[in-house]
Amino acid sequence: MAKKILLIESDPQVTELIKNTLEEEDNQVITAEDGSEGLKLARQEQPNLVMVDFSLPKVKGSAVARRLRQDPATDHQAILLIADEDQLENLEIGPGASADDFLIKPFSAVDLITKVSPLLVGEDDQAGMAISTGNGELDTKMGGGVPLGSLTLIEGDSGAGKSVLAQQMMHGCLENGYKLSLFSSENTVKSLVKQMRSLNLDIKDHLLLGRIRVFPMETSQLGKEAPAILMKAIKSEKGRALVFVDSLTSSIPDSSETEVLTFFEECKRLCANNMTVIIIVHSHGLHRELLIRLRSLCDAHLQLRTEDMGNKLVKTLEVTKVRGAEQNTGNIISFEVEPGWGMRVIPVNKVKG
Amino acid sequence: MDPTARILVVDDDRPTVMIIERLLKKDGYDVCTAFDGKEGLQRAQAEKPDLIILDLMMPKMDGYEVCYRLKNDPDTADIAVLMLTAKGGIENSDGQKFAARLEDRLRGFEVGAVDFLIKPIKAKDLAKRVKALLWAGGF
Repeated sequence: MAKKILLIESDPQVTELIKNTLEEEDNQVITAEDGSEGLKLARQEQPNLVMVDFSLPKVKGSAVARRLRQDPATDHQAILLIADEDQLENLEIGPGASADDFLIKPFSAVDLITKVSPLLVGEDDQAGMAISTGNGELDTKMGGGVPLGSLTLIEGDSGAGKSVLAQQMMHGCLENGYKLSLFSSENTVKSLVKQMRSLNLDIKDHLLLGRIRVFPMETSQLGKEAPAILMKAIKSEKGRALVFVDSLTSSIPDSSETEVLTFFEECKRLCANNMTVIIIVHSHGLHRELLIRLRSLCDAHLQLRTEDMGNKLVKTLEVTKVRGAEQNTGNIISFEVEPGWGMRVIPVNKVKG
Repeated sequence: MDPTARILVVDDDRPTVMIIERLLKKDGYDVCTAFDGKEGLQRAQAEKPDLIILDLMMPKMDGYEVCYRLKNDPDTADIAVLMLTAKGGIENSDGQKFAARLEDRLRGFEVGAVDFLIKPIKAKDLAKRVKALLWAGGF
């Protein structure tokens, strides 16, 4: 699919050069001569990438980049800042800076394409792709992992390992470079770091780099409004690839079935816009009929149970549904949670024996 | 003494390395680069730079460990290390953000870093720090 690139450049010669080169590569290039026009086009046209020259008249390129980042309508667009050699010292560098990368003048066509192409990878290229959970066995059963842009329901009783599974998935996603947000009724930032460390999952670096944002929820006082407020909070995390809710049932004790259904429908809409939402529920926190409707709304459904196998209690995970999964679903995995190790899949014969 | 100071830049974020390299070369320094901790350590031992600009968060080996190893090797113990740290990402609590940064710095100084810059870095600041550190080292 052709990518849309917005070029904000005041020098017509440079504009023409960049436009021609990028159009030859089958991209659609729209142009603006100054910052304010550029900002308007970025909002209207929703390009995949904005290229902006540092030395624009009126509004400077760095200010344009910053505004693009601050506006929720444009904050997901990749930014490539074009700068002269002698403007180098005025740049901001590193993750957290407004620009994703820099193109230094003078540059060749090859330089241009090498800088632009990595910034164009994303979103619809990911359609049909799956996010690894960090656990090979689990990935296989889910047909490659959690499908991107999907709504996943993780369901189970207390102590069945829902949070552990979610944490395993979060770690897998982070290690694969995805940014995510967690809304948690179970953990504070500190207890999450500690709990995940006990599973041998280190997220401290990711936290410091802002790749994972943790929002502890205290929803008991919100009462009936809780689903709507939670949804608003999730929507404000639009730039994130994934959102985890652990757990929904303890966040919405007083909500009606309609409110819960509305919440799921809105999640579904977010997923259609490329977000991946993973919701954890206690099996007994919701009515049976409601659960059945929710399961059918979701793209993937994972059922966790604690089962009595002979004289031993074993945690099992059943993948009952995965949209577009290549492998057969309906598979059951048995696993143990070992401190200092994490989730460990137990071979079936060992469980039975 | 060689009039041109040699600087090693170690960071896994390629745009960052590219800009710092261009910036320092423009100022007349001799620059070499590495994209992870292990490679950084090897380059440091091979190139014997006068200053190392070292990112904290890197795959394989983080900045603390690289710095610690450099300082424990007599061949590289004298190289000044300027550390780059990311801005604290815990956005829902300012207190924690500050604590994380402070903790980073303290630990960095413990393993032998002489200075710190917090990302995103202003290129101007970096140029000045580099100049000051090299001047302190006799350049």
